[in-house]
Amino acid sequence: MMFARLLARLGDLFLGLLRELGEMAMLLVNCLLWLPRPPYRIRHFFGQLEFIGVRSLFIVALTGLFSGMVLALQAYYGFRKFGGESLLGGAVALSMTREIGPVLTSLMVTARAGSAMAAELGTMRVTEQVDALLAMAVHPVHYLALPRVLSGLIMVPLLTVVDVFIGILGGYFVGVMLLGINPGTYMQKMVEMVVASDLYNGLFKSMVFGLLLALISCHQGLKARGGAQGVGLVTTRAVVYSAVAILIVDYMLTALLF
Amino acid sequence: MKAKSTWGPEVKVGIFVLVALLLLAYMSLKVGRFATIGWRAGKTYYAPFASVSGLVLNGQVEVAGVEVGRIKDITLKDHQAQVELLLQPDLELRQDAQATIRTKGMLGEKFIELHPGTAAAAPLEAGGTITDTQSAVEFDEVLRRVPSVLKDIQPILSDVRAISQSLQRVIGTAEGEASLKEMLDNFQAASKSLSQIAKDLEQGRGTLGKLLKEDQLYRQVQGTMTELESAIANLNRFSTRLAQGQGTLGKLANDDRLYDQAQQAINRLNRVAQKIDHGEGTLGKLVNDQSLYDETQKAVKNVNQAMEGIKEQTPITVLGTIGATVLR
Repeated sequence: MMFARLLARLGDLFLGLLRELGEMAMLLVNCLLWLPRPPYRIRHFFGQLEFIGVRSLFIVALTGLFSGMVLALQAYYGFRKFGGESLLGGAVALSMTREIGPVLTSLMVTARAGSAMAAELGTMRVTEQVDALLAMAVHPVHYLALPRVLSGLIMVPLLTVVDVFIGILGGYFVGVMLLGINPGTYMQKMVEMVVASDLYNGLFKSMVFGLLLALISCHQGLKARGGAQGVGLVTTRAVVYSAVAILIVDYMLTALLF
Repeated sequence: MKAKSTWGPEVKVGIFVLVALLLLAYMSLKVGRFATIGWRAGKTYYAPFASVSGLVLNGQVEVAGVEVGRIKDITLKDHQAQVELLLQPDLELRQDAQATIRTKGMLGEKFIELHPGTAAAAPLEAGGTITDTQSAVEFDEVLRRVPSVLKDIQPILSDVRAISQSLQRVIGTAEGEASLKEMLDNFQAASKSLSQIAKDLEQGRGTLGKLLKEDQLYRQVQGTMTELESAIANLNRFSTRLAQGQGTLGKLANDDRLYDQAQQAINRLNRVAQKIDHGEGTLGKLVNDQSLYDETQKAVKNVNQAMEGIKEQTPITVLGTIGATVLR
């Protein structure tokens, strides 16, 4: 009896996961379906671009700077063990472009913009503003989800570029100014070790992450039930699910791409 | 509030997108070797290698360390690796071009180094095959040879150690060091004076220097040589005359009579000397008889004594004479 209940619980969890995935896939398809249809609401879209992209700039730059600096410190510790300090520039640049840049940027955007998206849409849902939109023959996916998902798709890679650049600057600062590595060697090894595909694969990853986090956050927001507590719950879920999804998809993409 | 509306979301987003794209372009240019795009339609060459282990598609092709192309394709042909190279169109290869697989540093990637060939050889047309190729030296291959090499090196090393130990014994002590230092000092002084000499020579100081530098001395030597030449000519004439028996010296040299006479005179002299030696005749007795010498000796002694007596008497006589003169 006990065993059967455990099995039922497991099945329920799995079905719930599948349902979530299915709903998110439906949201994505809906977004794609609504994408070519007018009205285009350019100003509304730019507002979302600004919110997700421009307003995340500072926090992303700060994250990039410190992640680059700490990468340089940590890699130096490792390289010193076999006298490979000159490879530090390449190691920092490779880590930033391939891994740290896309993942950290996406996580920061999730924390800053994803949570806001879920809370905003959740509040609109529980205060029946979404229903009001429907009543006015404005589809919530077209009006609310599409600009956000599109903004995530466009802005997260661009933020990643900034993050990577500033991270490399930070790594340069630590490596050359603090650890005393020859600047010429540092730059030379960096340019030598990093190829264009490292950068572009990183950007492709961040594009996927941007889409993912916007999709999850919008989906959670639109699913909100109840009152303030429900909004809080979906906000938490949006952040947790996004972060977990980003890390899991990161591994899969890395295994596939490189 | 009107002024703020110009900084609407569109402008902000626009600025942000622009900056991000510029950064992306900058980083792409830095890491992506976009210079290669310019000659994507380059010339193709083929090069067979025994092994292309570690070589990758799109790997670099270099001439003298400058990238001139990419590795377009690697295929297997007749159990050899056939590498297709895409090179800059302005690169001219010759028939004796060489291709070598090399490694960048210890852990770096493999690349192909080209020697375009010498100008004397005929040019190699695009699509041609570089026949002179050399595969990479594999690291494990090198490692496999290490033990035998080490075995060879061992005795050399022990020899070197023996030498260095004996050197240590010679130079290592304070004494040895001092002598070495002295030697070096001497050497330094010698080289200094050598350089001084060289400088003097250079400046034409001293005989040797003058000899090297001044014309006058040369002219003098020239004059001397002329005189010497005429002297030799005279000598030559003289010796000719001498040989022909002309003049006194010539006769002396050539006439036998004079020699015979001299020989006879010497013979006679010899005989006289023999007689004297044997005590014959007055002169012989004088030389050989001891008694005459003794007699003479005695006589001289007597004369001596007589003279002494005279010496003793003389002062008294003188005093007497002076006294008589005064008393008078």
